[in-house]
Amino acid sequence: MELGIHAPSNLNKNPLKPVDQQLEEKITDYLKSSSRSVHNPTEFKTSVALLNSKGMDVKSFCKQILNSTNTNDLNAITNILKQTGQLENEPIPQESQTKQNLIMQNQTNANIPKSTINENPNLLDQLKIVQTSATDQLLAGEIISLIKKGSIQEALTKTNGSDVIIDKTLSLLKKTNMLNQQQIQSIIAFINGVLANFPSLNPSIMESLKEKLDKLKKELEHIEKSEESIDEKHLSESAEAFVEPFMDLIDNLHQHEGNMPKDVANALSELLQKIEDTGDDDGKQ
Amino acid sequence: MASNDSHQAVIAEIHRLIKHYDALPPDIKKEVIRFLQSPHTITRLNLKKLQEKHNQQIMQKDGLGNINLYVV
Repeated sequence: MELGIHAPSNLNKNPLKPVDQQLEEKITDYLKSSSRSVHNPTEFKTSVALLNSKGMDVKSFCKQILNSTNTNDLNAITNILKQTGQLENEPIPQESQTKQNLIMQNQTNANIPKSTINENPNLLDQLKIVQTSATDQLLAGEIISLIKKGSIQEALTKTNGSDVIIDKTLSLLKKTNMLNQQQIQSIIAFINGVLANFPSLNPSIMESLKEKLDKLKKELEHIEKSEESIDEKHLSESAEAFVEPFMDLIDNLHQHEGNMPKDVANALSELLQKIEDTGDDDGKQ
Repeated sequence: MASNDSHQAVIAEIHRLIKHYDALPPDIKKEVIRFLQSPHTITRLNLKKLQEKHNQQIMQKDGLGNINLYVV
Protein backbone atom coordinates (compact mmCIF):
# COMPACT_ATOMS: atom_id res chain seq x y z
CA MET A 1 0.00 0.00 0.00
CA GLU A 2 1.49 3.29 -1.03
CA LEU A 3 0.04 6.07 1.00
CA GLY A 4 3.08 7.27 2.83
CA ILE A 5 2.10 5.53 6.06
CA HIS A 6 4.54 3.06 7.40
CA ALA A 7 3.72 1.86 10.87
CA PRO A 8 6.78 0.64 12.69
CA SER A 9 6.75 -2.47 14.82
CA ASN A 10 6.78 -0.43 18.04
CA LEU A 11 3.39 1.03 17.23
CA ASN A 12 1.78 2.14 20.55
CA LYS A 13 5.02 2.27 22.49
CA ASN A 14 6.08 5.83 21.75
CA PRO A 15 4.56 8.62 23.79
CA LEU A 16 2.80 11.48 22.00
CA LYS A 17 5.17 13.98 20.44
CA PRO A 18 4.20 17.52 19.54
CA VAL A 19 3.36 18.01 15.90
CA ASP A 20 5.88 19.93 13.91
CA GLN A 21 4.82 23.58 14.36
CA GLN A 22 5.11 24.55 10.73
CA LEU A 23 3.27 21.47 9.59
CA GLU A 24 0.54 22.09 12.13
CA GLU A 25 0.15 25.65 10.90
CA LYS A 26 -0.04 24.48 7.30
CA ILE A 27 -2.68 21.96 8.13
CA THR A 28 -4.64 24.46 10.17
CA ASP A 29 -4.48 27.00 7.35
CA TYR A 30 -5.56 24.35 4.94
CA LEU A 31 -8.51 23.41 7.11
CA LYS A 32 -9.52 27.03 7.51
CA SER A 33 -9.44 27.61 3.78
CA SER A 34 -11.14 24.35 2.94
CA SER A 35 -14.85 24.47 2.42
CA ARG A 36 -15.10 20.75 2.98
CA SER A 37 -16.25 19.77 6.43
CA VAL A 38 -14.63 16.36 6.42
CA HIS A 39 -13.30 16.73 9.93
CA ASN A 40 -12.84 19.24 12.69
CA PRO A 41 -9.40 20.83 13.10
CA THR A 42 -8.89 19.69 16.69
CA GLU A 43 -9.63 16.09 15.86
CA PHE A 44 -7.45 16.30 12.80
CA LYS A 45 -4.52 17.74 14.72
CA THR A 46 -4.86 15.05 17.35
CA SER A 47 -4.80 12.43 14.65
CA VAL A 48 -1.70 13.95 13.12
CA ALA A 49 -0.03 14.05 16.52
CA LEU A 50 -0.81 10.37 16.95
CA LEU A 51 0.55 9.53 13.54
CA ASN A 52 3.65 11.49 14.34
CA SER A 53 4.12 9.80 17.66
CA LYS A 54 3.95 6.42 16.02
CA GLY A 55 6.78 7.32 13.70
CA MET A 56 4.62 7.34 10.62
CA ASP A 57 5.46 9.45 7.64
CA VAL A 58 3.18 12.32 8.56
CA LYS A 59 4.85 14.84 6.29
CA SER A 60 4.40 12.70 3.24
CA PHE A 61 0.83 12.03 4.23
CA CYS A 62 0.03 15.66 4.84
CA LYS A 63 1.77 16.69 1.65
CA GLN A 64 -0.78 14.65 -0.17
CA ILE A 65 -3.59 16.24 1.79
CA LEU A 66 -2.27 19.75 1.32
CA ASN A 67 -2.00 19.24 -2.42
CA SER A 68 -5.26 17.48 -2.77
CA THR A 69 -8.41 19.20 -3.89
CA ASN A 70 -10.32 16.02 -4.46
CA THR A 71 -13.03 15.47 -1.87
CA ASN A 72 -12.67 11.71 -2.10
CA ASP A 73 -8.97 11.98 -1.38
CA LEU A 74 -9.60 14.13 1.62
CA ASN A 75 -12.33 11.93 2.98
CA ALA A 76 -10.29 8.79 2.56
CA ILE A 77 -7.12 10.25 4.02
CA THR A 78 -8.99 11.93 6.84
CA ASN A 79 -10.76 8.71 7.70
CA ILE A 80 -7.42 6.97 7.95
CA LEU A 81 -6.13 9.72 10.20
CA LYS A 82 -9.20 9.44 12.37
CA GLN A 83 -8.55 5.77 12.66
CA THR A 84 -5.25 6.40 14.35
CA GLY A 85 -7.25 7.84 17.23
CA GLN A 86 -9.12 4.59 17.53
CA LEU A 87 -5.88 2.71 17.52
CA GLU A 88 -4.86 4.66 20.61
CA ASN A 89 -7.89 3.28 22.45
CA GLU A 90 -7.84 -0.17 20.95
CA PRO A 91 -4.25 -1.29 20.62
CA ILE A 92 -3.71 -3.58 17.70
CA PRO A 93 -1.74 -6.72 18.39
CA GLN A 94 1.79 -6.63 17.09
CA GLU A 95 1.37 -8.23 13.72
CA SER A 96 3.14 -7.66 10.49
CA GLN A 97 3.47 -4.06 9.42
CA THR A 98 1.49 -4.63 6.25
CA LYS A 99 -1.38 -6.20 8.09
CA GLN A 100 -1.50 -3.37 10.60
CA ASN A 101 -1.72 -0.88 7.81
CA LEU A 102 -4.37 -2.85 6.05
CA ILE A 103 -6.45 -3.14 9.20
CA MET A 104 -6.10 0.57 9.82
CA GLN A 105 -7.20 1.40 6.33
CA ASN A 106 -9.96 -1.14 6.43
CA GLN A 107 -11.39 0.37 9.56
CA THR A 108 -11.58 3.80 8.01
CA ASN A 109 -14.83 3.27 6.22
CA ALA A 110 -17.73 3.24 8.64
CA ASN A 111 -19.85 1.28 6.21
CA ILE A 112 -17.37 -1.54 5.96
CA PRO A 113 -17.15 -3.98 8.86
CA LYS A 114 -13.80 -4.41 10.55
CA SER A 115 -12.03 -7.20 8.74
CA THR A 116 -8.84 -7.94 6.95
CA ILE A 117 -8.13 -6.27 3.65
CA ASN A 118 -8.41 -9.59 1.85
CA GLU A 119 -12.12 -9.60 2.57
CA ASN A 120 -12.46 -6.12 1.29
CA PRO A 121 -10.70 -5.65 -2.04
CA ASN A 122 -12.80 -2.64 -3.02
CA LEU A 123 -11.26 -0.54 -0.32
CA LEU A 124 -7.82 -1.39 -1.63
CA ASP A 125 -8.88 -0.22 -5.08
CA GLN A 126 -10.31 2.93 -3.57
CA LEU A 127 -7.08 3.69 -1.79
CA LYS A 128 -5.10 3.06 -4.96
CA ILE A 129 -7.29 5.64 -6.68
CA VAL A 130 -6.60 8.04 -3.83
CA GLN A 131 -2.88 7.50 -4.25
CA THR A 132 -3.01 8.02 -8.02
CA SER A 133 -5.15 11.08 -7.61
CA ALA A 134 -2.76 12.58 -5.07
CA THR A 135 0.17 11.95 -7.41
CA ASP A 136 -1.67 13.68 -10.27
CA GLN A 137 -2.37 16.55 -7.95
CA LEU A 138 1.29 16.91 -7.09
CA LEU A 139 2.15 16.88 -10.77
CA ALA A 140 -0.45 19.58 -11.45
CA GLY A 141 1.16 21.65 -8.69
CA GLU A 142 4.56 21.26 -10.35
CA ILE A 143 3.06 22.32 -13.68
CA ILE A 144 1.61 25.47 -12.10
CA SER A 145 5.03 26.33 -10.67
CA LEU A 146 6.61 25.90 -14.09
CA ILE A 147 3.97 28.11 -15.71
CA LYS A 148 4.49 30.81 -13.11
CA LYS A 149 8.22 30.69 -13.78
CA GLY A 150 7.52 31.04 -17.50
CA SER A 151 8.75 27.54 -18.42
CA ILE A 152 5.78 26.94 -20.71
CA GLN A 153 7.31 24.26 -22.90
CA GLU A 154 8.38 22.23 -19.90
CA ALA A 155 4.92 22.61 -18.37
CA LEU A 156 3.29 21.43 -21.61
CA THR A 157 5.60 18.43 -21.76
CA LYS A 158 4.75 17.50 -18.18
CA THR A 159 1.04 17.40 -18.95
CA ASN A 160 1.76 14.72 -21.54
CA GLY A 161 -1.56 15.68 -23.11
CA SER A 162 -3.38 13.89 -20.31
CA ASP A 163 -6.99 14.92 -19.77
CA VAL A 164 -6.70 14.21 -16.06
CA ILE A 165 -3.52 16.20 -15.53
CA ILE A 166 -4.71 19.13 -17.63
CA ASP A 167 -8.03 19.12 -15.80
CA LYS A 168 -6.31 19.10 -12.41
CA THR A 169 -3.95 21.85 -13.54
CA LEU A 170 -6.90 23.93 -14.68
CA SER A 171 -8.66 23.37 -11.35
CA LEU A 172 -5.58 24.64 -9.53
CA LEU A 173 -5.27 27.58 -11.91
CA LYS A 174 -8.84 28.58 -11.14
CA LYS A 175 -7.89 28.82 -7.48
CA THR A 176 -4.80 30.89 -8.15
CA ASN A 177 -5.36 34.55 -7.40
CA MET A 178 -3.35 37.74 -7.28
CA LEU A 179 -1.40 36.99 -10.42
CA ASN A 180 0.87 39.60 -11.88
CA GLN A 181 0.94 40.57 -15.55
CA GLN A 182 3.79 38.24 -16.42
CA GLN A 183 2.14 35.27 -14.72
CA ILE A 184 -1.14 35.90 -16.52
CA GLN A 185 0.72 36.06 -19.84
CA SER A 186 2.43 32.77 -19.00
CA ILE A 187 -0.85 31.06 -18.19
CA ILE A 188 -2.36 32.38 -21.42
CA ALA A 189 0.63 31.00 -23.32
CA PHE A 190 0.24 27.66 -21.54
CA ILE A 191 -3.48 27.36 -22.32
CA ASN A 192 -2.89 28.38 -25.92
CA GLY A 193 -0.15 25.74 -26.06
CA VAL A 194 -2.48 23.07 -24.67
CA LEU A 195 -5.23 23.97 -27.13
CA ALA A 196 -2.80 23.94 -30.05
CA ASN A 197 -0.88 20.80 -29.13
CA PHE A 198 -3.58 18.55 -27.75
CA PRO A 199 -6.59 18.91 -30.04
CA SER A 200 -8.03 15.56 -28.96
CA LEU A 201 -8.62 16.66 -25.38
CA ASN A 202 -11.99 16.01 -23.77
CA PRO A 203 -14.38 18.67 -25.22
CA SER A 204 -15.58 19.78 -21.78
CA ILE A 205 -11.99 20.41 -20.70
CA MET A 206 -11.38 22.28 -23.93
CA GLU A 207 -14.40 24.43 -23.18
CA SER A 208 -13.22 25.15 -19.63
CA LEU A 209 -9.78 26.07 -20.94
CA LYS A 210 -11.27 28.50 -23.43
CA GLU A 211 -13.42 30.08 -20.73
CA LYS A 212 -10.40 30.49 -18.50
CA LEU A 213 -8.47 31.94 -21.42
CA ASP A 214 -11.15 34.58 -22.02
CA LYS A 215 -11.17 35.53 -18.34
CA LEU A 216 -7.40 35.84 -18.25
CA LYS A 217 -7.35 37.97 -21.37
CA LYS A 218 -9.88 40.33 -19.81
CA GLU A 219 -7.87 40.43 -16.59
CA LEU A 220 -4.73 41.22 -18.55
CA GLU A 221 -6.51 43.92 -20.50
CA HIS A 222 -7.70 45.47 -17.26
CA ILE A 223 -4.20 45.46 -15.78
CA GLU A 224 -2.75 47.02 -18.92
CA LYS A 225 -5.47 49.66 -18.91
CA SER A 226 -4.85 50.43 -15.25
CA GLU A 227 -1.16 50.90 -15.97
CA GLU A 228 -1.98 53.37 -18.70
CA SER A 229 -4.43 55.20 -16.46
CA ILE A 230 -3.38 58.05 -14.31
CA ASP A 231 -3.85 58.85 -10.68
CA GLU A 232 -5.27 62.16 -9.48
CA LYS A 233 -2.09 62.79 -7.48
CA HIS A 234 0.00 62.61 -10.62
CA LEU A 235 -1.99 65.02 -12.74
CA SER A 236 -0.22 68.07 -14.09
CA GLU A 237 -1.31 71.42 -12.74
CA SER A 238 -3.07 72.32 -16.01
CA ALA A 239 -5.03 69.06 -16.12
CA GLU A 240 -5.92 69.32 -12.46
CA ALA A 241 -7.28 72.82 -13.02
CA PHE A 242 -9.88 71.30 -15.30
CA VAL A 243 -10.42 67.96 -13.61
CA GLU A 244 -11.09 69.29 -10.13
CA PRO A 245 -14.09 71.50 -11.00
CA PHE A 246 -15.31 68.84 -13.42
CA MET A 247 -15.37 66.25 -10.63
CA ASP A 248 -17.08 68.74 -8.30
CA LEU A 249 -19.70 69.37 -10.95
CA ILE A 250 -20.46 65.68 -11.36
CA ASP A 251 -20.58 65.20 -7.58
CA ASN A 252 -22.95 68.14 -7.37
CA LEU A 253 -25.24 66.68 -10.05
CA HIS A 254 -25.30 63.35 -8.22
CA GLN A 255 -26.56 65.09 -5.11
CA HIS A 256 -29.73 66.27 -6.80
CA GLU A 257 -32.38 63.61 -6.60
CA GLY A 258 -34.96 65.27 -8.81
CA ASN A 259 -34.99 65.37 -12.60
CA MET A 260 -32.27 67.34 -14.22
CA PRO A 261 -33.63 70.36 -16.08
CA LYS A 262 -33.39 69.96 -19.80
CA ASP A 263 -30.96 72.84 -20.32
CA VAL A 264 -28.61 71.45 -17.65
CA ALA A 265 -28.77 68.03 -19.26
CA ASN A 266 -28.07 69.58 -22.66
CA ALA A 267 -25.08 71.52 -21.37
CA LEU A 268 -23.70 68.45 -19.63
CA SER A 269 -24.19 66.38 -22.72
CA GLU A 270 -22.30 68.99 -24.74
CA LEU A 271 -19.38 68.92 -22.31
CA LEU A 272 -19.21 65.12 -22.25
CA GLN A 273 -19.50 64.96 -26.01
CA LYS A 274 -16.56 67.32 -26.35
CA ILE A 275 -14.42 65.15 -24.12
CA GLU A 276 -15.59 62.03 -25.92
CA ASP A 277 -14.67 63.52 -29.30
CA THR A 278 -11.13 64.13 -28.09
CA GLY A 279 -10.94 60.51 -26.98
CA ASP A 280 -12.13 59.39 -30.42
CA ASP A 281 -9.62 61.63 -32.20
CA ASP A 282 -6.90 60.22 -29.98
CA GLY A 283 -7.95 56.70 -30.85
CA LYS A 284 -7.83 57.44 -34.58
CA GLN A 285 -4.29 58.77 -34.42
CA MET B 1 -32.32 71.09 -9.16
CA ALA B 2 -32.98 72.83 -5.89
CA SER B 3 -33.78 76.22 -7.41
CA ASN B 4 -33.68 78.10 -10.65
CA ASP B 5 -30.67 80.09 -9.43
CA SER B 6 -28.64 77.02 -8.61
CA HIS B 7 -29.47 75.37 -11.88
CA GLN B 8 -28.42 78.51 -13.76
CA ALA B 9 -25.18 78.40 -11.78
CA VAL B 10 -24.67 74.79 -12.80
CA ILE B 11 -25.22 75.64 -16.45
CA ALA B 12 -22.80 78.53 -16.17
CA GLU B 13 -20.21 76.23 -14.62
CA ILE B 14 -20.68 73.65 -17.38
CA HIS B 15 -20.22 76.31 -20.05
CA ARG B 16 -17.13 77.57 -18.29
CA LEU B 17 -15.76 74.03 -18.27
CA ILE B 18 -16.51 73.62 -21.97
CA LYS B 19 -14.52 76.76 -22.73
CA HIS B 20 -11.78 75.68 -20.36
CA TYR B 21 -11.57 72.29 -22.03
CA ASP B 22 -11.49 73.82 -25.52
CA ALA B 23 -8.57 75.96 -24.48
CA LEU B 24 -6.47 73.09 -23.15
CA PRO B 25 -3.42 72.04 -25.19
CA PRO B 26 -3.75 68.59 -26.86
CA ASP B 27 -1.37 66.85 -24.46
CA ILE B 28 -3.31 68.13 -21.45
CA LYS B 29 -6.56 67.01 -23.06
CA LYS B 30 -5.05 63.55 -23.42
CA GLU B 31 -4.00 63.62 -19.80
CA VAL B 32 -7.54 64.56 -18.77
CA ILE B 33 -8.96 61.75 -20.90
CA ARG B 34 -6.56 59.22 -19.39
CA PHE B 35 -7.56 60.35 -15.95
CA LEU B 36 -11.28 60.25 -16.69
CA GLN B 37 -10.96 56.79 -18.21
CA SER B 38 -9.06 55.38 -15.23
CA PRO B 39 -11.06 52.72 -13.41
CA HIS B 40 -11.03 54.56 -10.10
CA THR B 41 -12.26 57.77 -11.72
CA ILE B 42 -15.00 55.95 -13.58
CA THR B 43 -16.15 54.48 -10.29
CA ARG B 44 -16.04 57.81 -8.55
CA LEU B 45 -17.83 59.73 -11.26
CA ASN B 46 -20.41 57.03 -11.73
CA LEU B 47 -21.61 58.67 -14.90
CA LYS B 48 -23.72 55.67 -15.69
CA LYS B 49 -25.80 56.28 -12.60
CA LEU B 50 -26.04 59.94 -13.49
CA GLN B 51 -27.12 59.02 -16.99
CA GLU B 52 -29.75 56.62 -15.68
CA LYS B 53 -31.07 59.24 -13.31
CA HIS B 54 -31.39 61.81 -16.02
CA ASN B 55 -31.64 59.52 -18.98
CA GLN B 56 -34.67 61.14 -20.55
CA GLN B 57 -33.22 64.62 -20.65
CA ILE B 58 -29.83 63.61 -22.01
CA MET B 59 -31.34 61.45 -24.70
CA GLN B 60 -33.56 64.32 -25.79
CA LYS B 61 -30.41 66.22 -26.61
CA ASP B 62 -28.67 63.93 -29.02
CA GLY B 63 -30.93 60.95 -29.26
CA LEU B 64 -28.39 58.44 -28.04
CA GLY B 65 -26.68 59.86 -24.98
CA ASN B 66 -23.06 59.55 -26.00
CA ILE B 67 -21.73 59.78 -22.49
CA ASN B 68 -21.48 56.04 -22.69
CA LEU B 69 -17.83 56.47 -23.49
CA TYR B 70 -17.12 56.81 -19.79
CA VAL B 71 -19.21 53.95 -18.67
CA VAL B 72 -17.57 50.62 -17.92
